[in-house]
Parts: sequence; structure tokens; C-alpha cells
Amino acid sequence: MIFNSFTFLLFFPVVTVLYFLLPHKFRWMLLLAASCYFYMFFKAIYILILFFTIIIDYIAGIYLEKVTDPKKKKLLLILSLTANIGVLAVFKYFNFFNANLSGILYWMGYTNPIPFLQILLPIGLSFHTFQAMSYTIEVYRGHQKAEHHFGIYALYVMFYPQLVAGPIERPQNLLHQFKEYHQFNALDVSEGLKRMLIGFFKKVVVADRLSIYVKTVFANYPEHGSATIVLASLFFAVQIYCDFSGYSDIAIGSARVMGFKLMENFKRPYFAKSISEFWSRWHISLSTWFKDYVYIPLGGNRVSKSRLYFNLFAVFMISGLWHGANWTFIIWGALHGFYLICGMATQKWRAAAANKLGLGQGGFANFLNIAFTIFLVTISWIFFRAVSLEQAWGLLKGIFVYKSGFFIGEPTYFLYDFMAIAALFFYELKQEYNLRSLRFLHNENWGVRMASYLGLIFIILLFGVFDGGQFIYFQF
Amino acid sequence: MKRLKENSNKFFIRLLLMIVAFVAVDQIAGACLYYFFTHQASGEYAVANHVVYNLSEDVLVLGSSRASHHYNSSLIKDSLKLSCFNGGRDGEGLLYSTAIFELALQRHIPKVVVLDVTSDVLSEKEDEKNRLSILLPYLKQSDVVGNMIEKKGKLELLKSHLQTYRYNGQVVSIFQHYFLSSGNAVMGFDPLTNKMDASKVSTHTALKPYSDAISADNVAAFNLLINECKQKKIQLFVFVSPRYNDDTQQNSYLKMKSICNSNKVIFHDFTNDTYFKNPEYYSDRAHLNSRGADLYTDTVAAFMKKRLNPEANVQYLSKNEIHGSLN
Repeated sequence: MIFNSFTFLLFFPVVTVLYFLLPHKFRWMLLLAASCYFYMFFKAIYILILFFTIIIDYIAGIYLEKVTDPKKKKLLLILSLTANIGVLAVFKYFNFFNANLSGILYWMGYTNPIPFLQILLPIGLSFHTFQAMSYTIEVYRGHQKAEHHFGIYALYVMFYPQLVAGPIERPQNLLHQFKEYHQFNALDVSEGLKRMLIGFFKKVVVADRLSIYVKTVFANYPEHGSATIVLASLFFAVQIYCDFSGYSDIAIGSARVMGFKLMENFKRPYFAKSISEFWSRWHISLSTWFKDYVYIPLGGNRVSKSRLYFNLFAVFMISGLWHGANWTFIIWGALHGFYLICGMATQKWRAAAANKLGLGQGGFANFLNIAFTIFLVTISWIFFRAVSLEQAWGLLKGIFVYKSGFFIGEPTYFLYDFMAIAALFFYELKQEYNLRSLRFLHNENWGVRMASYLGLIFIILLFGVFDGGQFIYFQF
Repeated sequence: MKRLKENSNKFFIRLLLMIVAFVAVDQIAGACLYYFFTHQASGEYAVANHVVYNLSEDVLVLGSSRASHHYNSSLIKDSLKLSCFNGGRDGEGLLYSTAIFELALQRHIPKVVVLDVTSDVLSEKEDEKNRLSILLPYLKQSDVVGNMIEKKGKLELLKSHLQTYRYNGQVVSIFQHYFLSSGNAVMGFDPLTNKMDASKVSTHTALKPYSDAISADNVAAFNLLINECKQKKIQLFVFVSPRYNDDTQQNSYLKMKSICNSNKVIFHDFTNDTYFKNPEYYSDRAHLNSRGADLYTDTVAAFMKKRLNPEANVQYLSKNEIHGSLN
């Protein structure tokens, strides 16, 4: 089931009402059943894959707590991680590595005897796997007690609001919440619903509206001029942000309605003044996951400069591969690693240059930094969006080798695109600089609040794209 | 505890008030939008509105952009001495044409229907059903519209109870065509004025294998349209109008020909007519410009004239007559 479907708009209130009507001891059952139903909407049989890793991690967690011998403990952790990564390797990466092997063998004059798997990637598998892995790692580290209630553990890795696209929760934040009694709280419900409304706006009014232009241009990029490709790339940067942060808003909001508090996943990333700041604002649950479970174990910052750069680059390459089994994603990750290393290596030089030019730390310097960060991120998104390296190079060539012509498409849709971006920019600006005088959904006057809710609902109904389909991050 | 209860009560009262306000605003906004929608002076919906609410012409042209840009209504009128309206619409397929035809039949029965098709008209196309949302404003006019919209999804009709949802994505366009009329197409005919750059287009014929899946919904819509014409004794012509580079021959094309043959419907394909292989006649490889459209309309009108029943309440031709007409 997808959040931007009418089915979800029926599913969500039914589950929520039942949740509050049921006695506490039965609530986990309801949520687990609802989560299974939610997931089985995509491809029912794939729930067995989730349960395979759930059973392994559940048992591993209990034994990790019991066993005191460090070697055995490590072995248990490795077994659990291997099972999780193994499932991911088979379903997500097998065909990718096999295709690369075929290419190498073909170049050497041989034929690859290994057949390709005729399977589809279970939706949200990477998110599920990472959340499951964080549990076993935290139990192994002694930061989290093993969960003995199988149903609660299963619910932790299958909780429907964040099941298919995060935020990737840590057990310390989420597990205990399933055991707490959540009384109906008008504030939580109202805040949750507002958050969901904003998420729907981002997804159907901004992301899916922009995707129409982006899809048209990217699919036929050789025929478009440079300005068109630049605009489509910028639109895609906004599209993917609204698609993913919109999903996170709906996830956080729908959990909040029932009293659950999920972690924040985005903090207005396009206001970041550097790439490192961008990653502290974009997909925070994944960035912190990589930081805690890959970057720090590799040595973190307490290593030589060259090793530090290697660690950063490796983490971003893996992050790229996590996103998708395609060279385009690996290059996307590598680009971000490269940006970060360049940023670190040139930090002093840039500061000196800025001082000399008299730019200092003022508003104009901030503006330049934000604009340059957006430029770098947008270039990287081209690899993320392209279906092949050939297409990515073609798009870059289209941008940097000038070609005249400008494509508008359907003029009203083009107008909607700019209206949507303007509304989003206003909202984000207000949030970033905490402009309290311009409050709508949180206005102290109830009448203004109600008018704002209604206004937003009607904007979604009148300007949203309701055939936009799935969220981009579901494929990961 | 008492405060929590008070807060909850307050919340539910406000929620209820908001639902009531939402329903009221939806009804009022829906009614306003319906007014502006039905009074648009130009644009694609103005053409569709004429077919649905005001059709009085003898000949009705249906189809996609190739219909709306290729059939000059006034030339047909001059040639056949029958009034004509072109109800073609950009990007739309058979589902739309059938629905709009059904809507038209509720008020008026034309004597002749010209259906312009492409060779893939019966093929399964991903977005064809999604595009049926454009029929939502006509929902209350006929059950056929509801049946068509249901093809988009089981819950689509439920969504359409929201009056404002019916005008999703159209608000700016509605106001634009209401307040800033941009000069409407002549009797639905929307000529293209530009000339194609022939150096950029090849006439190469790319024959694809017969791999396209046939859409059962499209076949049903085609049969419904044919049956309505039979029952109401409307003469139906099915044409594939010219294109600069040859269209692909697909399963859909064969199926369409077979349905036309079995129902004794006059079908003619102008795709390979060498007379129209002149780049001067085209706006792009799939669309004739106004010059090409006029020439084509003259040709097609002459073709129809020969085969038109003088009563225009036509008996369907025998199989031999059809084959004779195509030779």
C-alpha cells in the first residue's frame, strides 16, 4: 500500500480508531496485523522474506544477550548480519554483480555460465534490513536489551508507517514505545494529522507534479536544449526531496497520531551551506546509521588524514550501493564522498580566500555557499536519476555543451510547477528562519488554523497529481 | 484526566466542525467550478462541452490529436452538405472517444461518425486509463462515464464524490479559458500552422514485431461504439489518417480491421497513401499541418461522399461493397 493512495486514506483511520479502542495488551497484535496487510499489498509472498530475517534476528538477539564469551558473541552477530546482508545480496545485488561478471568474462572472451535470477526486489528491503541490523548490533554492543516478545520485535521491524522507506529507527528509540500505553492525545493527533497533510502536499502537489516535466525531459534528453536540462535537473532535486521527505512526514505524522514518536529524517537540506551540512540534514536516519555502524568502526575522525579520506569515500560508495544496484548510484555516492573530501581539504584555503574577498560569514556568503551546495547536489542527482551511465553523461553533456531551445510542455502544468515550488520555498523558509509571524497551521487563532487546513486540503485536491504512483525510495 | 477529556471533547467538536466546513466548501467550490467549466469559451474542454451539451451537427469526428488537427469541419460541411463538428482531443484514445460519443447521444443523434484511429488504438497503454480523469466533470451526465472511470480503479468513483476532485489539475485552465478566451477552434477543428523540418525526420518504416498486448477494455469500447452506431443507424467511418513516417503495424491494427470487417464498418488506412508523403503537408511526423489537413479533408470527404447513404441514416454496407470501396 502506498501513502498517496485512496486505500491508505481508508486504512489509516480504521487502524487508528481500532488502536485506541483496543485494550493495550491487544494493540501490538493490531499493529502487526495492519503492518503485514500494508506490506502484503505490494507482493504478498515477499512477507516470508521479512519473516525469515525477523526469526533469525529475534533468536540472535536473545542469544547475544545470553552468551558471555566474546568470540561466540561475535560469531552470533556475524551470522545474523550475514543472513540479513545475504537476503539483500540475493534479491538486490545478485543480478547486478552477475551482469558485471558477464561483462568482464565477455571482454576476456568467455561466456558467463551463471544464470540471472528472475526475481523482483521486495519493496523497502534495504530499509528493513538496516533497521534489523541496527537491533542486533545494539544488542551485541550492550546498548539495548534483547526483545523477548516475538510479536513486539516483529512489530519493531515491520511497523507500517516506516516499514518501506524509513526513517530507519534504532531499537532504543522505538522498541520501548510499543510497550507503553498511548492514551488518546488530542495534541498528538492534531500534530500528526498536520504533519501528514504537509507530507501529502509535498508528495502529490510538488513531487509528482514536477515529475511530469522531469520524466518528459529525461526520457528524451538528446532533443532538449541546455536550459531545459538544467531546469529538469533542478526540478528533480526538488522532486526527490519532496518525494522522500513527504513520505517521512506522512510516516512520522501517522505514527504520531497513535502516540509514537519517530526520528526526524530531514531538516531542510537545501538550506545547507556545505555538503557535510547537507548530509546532516538529508536522510538523517541513514546518515547516522552509516556513521554509527560503518564510519566510526572504520576509525572515524581519529585516524590519519589519508585514512580519514578513505573512510569517507568508502562510506559514501557503500551508501551509493545501498541505494541501488547500478553504477549510477555508486557514482552518485562516490561524488558525494569526493565533494566531502574536497571540502575538508580546501576548508582553510576557502576561508582565507573568503576573508580576502571580504565575504566573511555574512548573508551574501551564506547565499553563495547554499547556491554552490545546491549546484553540487544537483549534479550528483543526475546520476541518481539516470537509468544508465550513458544517459547521465548525455545529460551532463547537454548541460555543459550549450544547445539552444527551451521546452515548456503543457503551459498550465509548467505554471503549477512554479506555484508548487514557490509554496514549498515559502514553507521551508518559514521553518528555517522560524518566522513566527507567518504561522498558518500553527496559528494561535483557531479560525485561521481551520482555514489553513481546509486551504491545504483543497490545494491538494485541486492541484495534486493522483496518478503519480510510488515513492522513489520504495525501490531501495 | 479531566483536562485530557476536555481536550479530547474539544478536539472532536472541532474535527466535526471542520468536516462540515469541508463538505460545504467542497459543494460550493464544486458548483462554482462546474459553472466556469461549462462556460469555457475556448480550449479542449470547450470542444468537449459542445459535443456533450450542444451537439446538433450531422457529422461528428472523434479521435485523438490526429482527429482534431486533420479534419476540417467546414470543408466536410461544404463537400457533404452536412454540418460537421470535430470532437477530437489531444492524447486521447478510444475509451475517451466512446465515452464522449455516449454523452453526445443523450441529446442528439448525428447521422455520420468519423472515428480517426492510430494503428495501436486497441493496444494496452499504461496511461490511457489514468487519463480518463478528464471525464470526471461529466460524471453525472451518464452511467457510461462512471463505467469508464471505474476502469481506472475500483475506488476512483468513490473519490469522485468530492466535487472539487473532479476538476483536479484544471483550475487554471478553466479560468484561463473562461476569462481569457484564446479564439476557439473552428467547429472543433484545430489546425496546426507550422511546417515540419523534413531534414530531422526520416520516412523509415520501423516494423515492430506483433508483440503488443490487446486491451480488452479498448476492444469493448470499440464494440460499444460500433453497436451504438448500428442501433441508432449512424454511418460509421473508421480512418487511419496520414503520417509522414509509417506507423508500425501491430496486433491492435489487425484486430481493429477484423472488428470493422465483421461489423461491416467502412475502414480505410491512409498511412501509406503516397499523395500525403510530402513534408510540406506536415507539422510533425504524426500530424498534418493546416495545408495537409485541408488536402486530406478533401480526399476523405470525397471518399465518404461516394459511400454515404443519401438519407445518412445508413444501411451498413455488405462485405463486398466494403472491399470494393477499398480497392
